[in-house]
Amino acid sequence: MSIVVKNLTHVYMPGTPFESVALKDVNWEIADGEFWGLIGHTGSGKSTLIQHLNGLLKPTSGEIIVNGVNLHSKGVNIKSIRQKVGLVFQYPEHQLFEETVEKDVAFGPRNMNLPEDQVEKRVREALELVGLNYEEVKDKSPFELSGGQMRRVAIAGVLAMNPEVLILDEPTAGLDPRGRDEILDEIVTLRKRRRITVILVSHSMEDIAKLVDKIAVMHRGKMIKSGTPREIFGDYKGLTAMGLGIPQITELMLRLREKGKNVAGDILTVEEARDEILKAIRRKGSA
Amino acid sequence: MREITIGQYIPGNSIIHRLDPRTKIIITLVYMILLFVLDNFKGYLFPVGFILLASVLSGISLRYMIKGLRPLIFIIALTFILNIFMIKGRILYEIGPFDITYEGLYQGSFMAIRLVLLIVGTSLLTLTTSPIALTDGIERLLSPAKRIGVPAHELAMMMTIALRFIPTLLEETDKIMKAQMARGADFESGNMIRRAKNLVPLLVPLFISAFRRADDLAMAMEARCYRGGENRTRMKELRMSKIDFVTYIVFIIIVLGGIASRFIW
Ligand SMILES: Nc1ncnc2c1ncn2[C@@H]1O[C@H](COP(=O)(O)OP(=O)(O)OP(=O)(O)O)[C@@H](O)[C@H]1O
Ligand SMILES: [Mg+2]
Repeated sequence: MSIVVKNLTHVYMPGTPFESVALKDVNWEIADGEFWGLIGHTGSGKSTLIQHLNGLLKPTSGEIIVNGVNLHSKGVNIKSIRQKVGLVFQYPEHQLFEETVEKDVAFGPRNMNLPEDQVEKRVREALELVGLNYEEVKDKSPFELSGGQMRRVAIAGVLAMNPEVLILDEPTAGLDPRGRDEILDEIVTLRKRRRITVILVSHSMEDIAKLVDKIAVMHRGKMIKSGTPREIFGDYKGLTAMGLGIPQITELMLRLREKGKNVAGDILTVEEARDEILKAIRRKGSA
Repeated sequence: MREITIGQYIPGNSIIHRLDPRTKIIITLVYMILLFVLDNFKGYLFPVGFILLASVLSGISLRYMIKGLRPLIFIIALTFILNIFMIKGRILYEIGPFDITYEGLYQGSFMAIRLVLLIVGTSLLTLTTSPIALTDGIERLLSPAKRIGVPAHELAMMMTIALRFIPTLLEETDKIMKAQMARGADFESGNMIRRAKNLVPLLVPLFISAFRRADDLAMAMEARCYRGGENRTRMKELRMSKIDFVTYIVFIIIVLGGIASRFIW
């Protein structure tokens, strides 16, 4: 599923003294099956931008085109768009409300008026995708689970609608390192299994560098850059000027380079760095 | 959801903003009484003049204040229409069983203007006074009543906290609503019962979050040894200044002018 954002501008509370321009002339093209990372400083407009992609916010001006259909032209069924473009909000566990996990995850599919046997199948699949055992948790109250488990149930609630695009707004915020890695692993597995398009909003440059194919950078309501992780993280000065960073390992390798070591400057993961350093040592040994 | 302007505060540094909150509260109260004491259009020249003067000095555009009237337009219109039809007198026009009378028209427009002035006047108070200053002022004005057992400080503290959390809860409502809409929830269509039922996915998380916030706040206050009003000092003492003095004089002249107009015209 492809999404095109054209000249999108969004103004909150226009015409009042509290007016604030959250997005300015944003252009973005997301092709089918891509894995995007969306980064930017606090308040740069990331959450505002992604809420436009499934029609939760209306553009002040500009267009959102999903699979060739303009979201705000007449006769578009916005509910079916919301089913296809699944959005997991920041701290999604705050939206849980049902008595049992099973019922909560089934909320989305039931709103789609699916037959009951389909609903159950979807719930089972979704819970298993986020690494929870269906039989074990289905009759529990969502409120007796741990924070990390609640988050998974909430994510399952969106997955159960079988979205073709999955957007996650800081899905790992406030989790311990293990919980974080598990959720990220599940996203990767999910993408492989279902071949869906994924957009990940994150403040962790490490996670972004490790996972995504492409990165879009927001700064003060503008999308100032997009490209592959190597292109984006190659611009260390530009990113730090915006209050963003680069992955620690990339920074380490850049510093080694500055000290005159013969290593590449566009390393993104620890594994790559290990290989690069070993290579450099061998080169030196043979020279 | 966030378009509600009544009760909103617009930060600023105008003369009106800088007035002591007690001055503004007292003047607003007397102003409200004045609106009910005056009973003809000519007398209203005084409060109208006062409001115009105050809003020019406050730097808040009249357009913004009139926008704040929008949610109440229905009540104002209803007052106007009821008065037109209910009052007997010289008939101007007949619609079926109803008569529009000269007196009705007069009374109807008078009442509508009274309501508008009432709303604009009180919103001028909240627009130019931060919630904290407002409750501070109320607490100080109520403090003589402490002797007869009125818990002035506690009342003011409750008001401050309530006011502080209104925007937070609105924001929270907005967020949860969107999250449920992303899962296909529908808050807009269906009959009354259906709609009430559809609110469950919104209300449950909202209550949970409100209780969680209340708990956090209580804990934070306790951690800083909050123990009510006894012997508490404040960072900013309220103090009347020259501007307050001048304001009282101007306002007294306006009130006297208004009352005199009852006898002269
Ligand atoms: N509902 C709203 N009403 C008014 N202004 C808003 C609203 N939501 C966001 N804003 C403003 O819009 C701007 C962009 O906010 P947004 O939430 O999109 O940023 P963000 O990039 O997601 O930040 P974060 O990393 O902190 O989540 C901010 O200046 C914010 O104050
Ligand atoms: Mg955000």
